[in-house]
Amino acid sequence: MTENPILSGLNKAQIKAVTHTEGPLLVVAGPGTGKTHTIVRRIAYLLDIGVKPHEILAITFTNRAAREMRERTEAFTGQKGIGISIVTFHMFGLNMLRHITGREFTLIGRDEQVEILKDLTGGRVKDGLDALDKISKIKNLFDEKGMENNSIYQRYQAILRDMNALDLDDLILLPVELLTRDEKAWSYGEMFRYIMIDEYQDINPSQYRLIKALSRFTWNICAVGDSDQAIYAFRGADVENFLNFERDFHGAEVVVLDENYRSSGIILEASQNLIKNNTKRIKKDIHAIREIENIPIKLISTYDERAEAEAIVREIENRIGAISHFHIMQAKQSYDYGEGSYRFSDFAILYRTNSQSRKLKEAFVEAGIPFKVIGDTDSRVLKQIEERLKNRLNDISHGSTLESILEEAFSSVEDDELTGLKRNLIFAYRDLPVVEGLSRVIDELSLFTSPDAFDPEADAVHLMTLHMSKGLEFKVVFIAGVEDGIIPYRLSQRDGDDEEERRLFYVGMTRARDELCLCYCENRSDHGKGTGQRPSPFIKEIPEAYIKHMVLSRREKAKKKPRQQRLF
Amino acid sequence: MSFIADLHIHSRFSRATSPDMTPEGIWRWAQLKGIAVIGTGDFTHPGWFKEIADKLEPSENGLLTLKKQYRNQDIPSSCRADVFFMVTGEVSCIYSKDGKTRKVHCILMVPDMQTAARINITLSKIGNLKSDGRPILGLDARELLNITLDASPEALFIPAHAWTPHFSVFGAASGFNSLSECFEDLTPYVFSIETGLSSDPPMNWRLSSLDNITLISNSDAHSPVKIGREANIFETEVSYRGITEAIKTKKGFRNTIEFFPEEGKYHYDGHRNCGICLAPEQTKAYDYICPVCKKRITIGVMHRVQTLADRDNGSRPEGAPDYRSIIPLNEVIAEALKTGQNSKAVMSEYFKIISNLGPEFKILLETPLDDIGRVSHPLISEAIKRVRENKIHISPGYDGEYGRIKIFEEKDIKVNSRQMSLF
Ligand SMILES: [Zn+2]
Ligand SMILES: [Zn+2]
Ligand SMILES: [Zn+2]
Repeated sequence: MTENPILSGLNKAQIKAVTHTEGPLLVVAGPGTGKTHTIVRRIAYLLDIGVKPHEILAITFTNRAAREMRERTEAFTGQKGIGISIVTFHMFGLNMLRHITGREFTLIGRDEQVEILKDLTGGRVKDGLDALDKISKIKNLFDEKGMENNSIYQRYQAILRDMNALDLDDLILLPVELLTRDEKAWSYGEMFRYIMIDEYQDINPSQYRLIKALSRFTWNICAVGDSDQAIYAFRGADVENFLNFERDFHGAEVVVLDENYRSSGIILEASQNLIKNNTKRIKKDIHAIREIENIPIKLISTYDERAEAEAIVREIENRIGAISHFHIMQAKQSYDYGEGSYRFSDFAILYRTNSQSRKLKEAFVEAGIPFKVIGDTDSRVLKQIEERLKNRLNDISHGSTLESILEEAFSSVEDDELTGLKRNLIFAYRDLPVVEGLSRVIDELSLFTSPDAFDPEADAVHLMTLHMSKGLEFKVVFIAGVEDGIIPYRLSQRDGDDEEERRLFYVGMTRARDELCLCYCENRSDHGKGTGQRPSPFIKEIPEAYIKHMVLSRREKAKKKPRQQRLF
Repeated sequence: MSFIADLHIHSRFSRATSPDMTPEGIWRWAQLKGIAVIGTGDFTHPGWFKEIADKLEPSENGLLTLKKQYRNQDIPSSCRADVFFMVTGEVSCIYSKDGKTRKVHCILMVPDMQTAARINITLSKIGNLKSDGRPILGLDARELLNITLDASPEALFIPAHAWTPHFSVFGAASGFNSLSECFEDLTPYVFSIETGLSSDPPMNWRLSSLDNITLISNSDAHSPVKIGREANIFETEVSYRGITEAIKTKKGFRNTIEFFPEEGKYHYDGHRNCGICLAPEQTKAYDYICPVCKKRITIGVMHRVQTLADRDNGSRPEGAPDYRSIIPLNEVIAEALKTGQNSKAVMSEYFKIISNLGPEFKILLETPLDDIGRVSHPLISEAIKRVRENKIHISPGYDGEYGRIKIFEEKDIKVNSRQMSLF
């Protein structure tokens, strides 16, 4: 028997997920188990058995995920795949609304929403933001009571109607409504005979309603995800939807992808030992496929967050080797240059809250190691400047120069790096006519503010929150601040959701391919806490045999200094 | 016209540099040394970019000059001369290629601040430019060359101190075995390499693959007094185009002024902290493992050249520019006076000599010894004579430790001191 090329290289569970095409299917895909790979092959398989491209719908959460899946599908299927809908929830909604109403809408973004709500709530930005939160929650949770009773909600919706505008959340709500009563919507829904939803554990109640509405036309619903990686409860996502899939979709087949192609055995085992303490999950047993050295998980305890940042920098330097002559001359031993093959983007530092990034950034600047903070304020500031300049483009008064326009647009910026960028932009384009120079500047800035914050091309150490790390992988992962109150995160007296927090930690751990380092401090000032931090209780859930503990207290640091000097 | 140029230095915005590396300070010391064209260094740094934009102004020849209002430092009249700045910078590329971590320093020379700005914009998308005047970027050196050429076809890209073990294109620790391994299809745009302190032209002549490459030499100075410890003599028009054309074609490139390579920090192999200094043959005998700490020995430039050479010692390709070896004047004086290089006595002798006779390079290379003898300590003119005749002894540098110069044997000093007392 010749093997079907679409199934070649797949493991048993993956083949089952690919070939089970009729009827509901839940694919439980733990970290590093080849999820996207499997979805791509499943699409190819559907085409192969005669399904038409326009009958296939694959829904993802982010543009990045949609783009990646589209690219990989095209690469595998070639021409045959043209016409498949691989879209985000929002894109699906927008396409559907355009198709069945034949009208164009104005889509308003967060800034415009705040602007409208600010006016409705008395003019303060903070009140506008609070109202936005509330309205978004009503929409995402499909809170019918809220829709009927909240007066701000109703006034806001009225304003949008007058503007012929929709917000992003409407792109889910409106299709749900239309699918219940509009015949044109039915015929649109009927088109999709095979539906796949990625990251099913992250869907919120209104997205759930959308899936249910679509399932009236086809029972071929394939949900892919992992209950252990559900980390968006704060946005209204509900992991119960994932756990209830078999109840919601009668006769559902469940396939567990059980081979991990990413992490070392030790990292995988440690993370599974942690996550099995959760109750809201689908039990699964994953084993590691990569045959690599099992390096123990390093647990580094330091005096405070500054020492923590320095310890992380040192760990990176130890792997990449000397960074500069200056470092070599400072070193107390001659550098041993091995056959290592690290680049800066092999390293990531993950943390629970954005405020933790400050000390880390300082340490990287000091060490001169290139780094990128994902979701940093810099890119937000640049985005605003870019918007401001775009507005100016149609409104250039006589006598204004590129210099005067940029000086004005950057006027609130204090950061050296950004001021330096401004000066470079002026020098690079001031000889062009103002309009042309300005459009070149806007083009340059747009490259700094690409919609997807993570840029795999940027060869720098990546710093990001645990939430942002989902879906990514790195050779060496550091998790900073593995302390009680931070992981799990607790605000004042109010207890957080420990299961959600454990999942978040699990997501962080399972980003690591070769090595995982967990760090905690005895004292921390960046978190409204003083002294006496305790290590996270989650550390105890990892078998001790997998851990190598390294204690860097302040005393040790002080002891080393004089010895270093004596050698010169 | 013949003139001296030092095209790789660092500003006070680079790590471990002197606070005196300001436009004014560099301008002053270029004159004391006898340098007509000097690199600005560090154009990638936002603070330095601002400073050179504020304090320098473009002149007709594609180079910059210090604005009049900043020319108020004290220069002996014997040394006063025009100084031009060329916009230059250095980038440290650290990346992984063909399964190995690579670390390559590269010098960028650009025709104007506009080109510098364009390069800076591109680089700031990749990494942080403000932590160091010589920024570290996770960027393939080939890609940096590409970015440089994109910014301006007139820009010049030169691998820096090409042989040092840790941070260079041929470096033993994290470099390549050939330029084409590193730059692939763009290799033809690499016209030149900087030989670095620890190698001199004859060592580089041993590689036939470098026959078409112009070997340049610069100081890589981190403090004013180190400016010009290596440099280039051009015989062309003083302009950006004149200099870069000479580097590209060797026409108008007269010769380099070299450190004695033994004095360089990485001439021999060894371990600084273990006190182990080895010739290449000895390293091989130890199987590349340090007898003290048992870690791998840091391989020096001599060893590395031997590994990559396809010619014997002493061969010289046709048309290769000549070179002159020097020891910086303050080191010569220090050796003669048997005191520290930067001591008060050395510096006052230094200023006495240049104030009377002209800039340092003139003293080291041209000034009649009798004239030198007339204004300074007789041991100093004797020392300069020996340097000019290459009659000196140097215990080679290794693993970051400079080589130690010995111009005089113990007996020379005694004899000379006795003569002195006769006066
Ligand atoms: Zn360098
Ligand atoms: Zn340098
Ligand atoms: Zn040693």
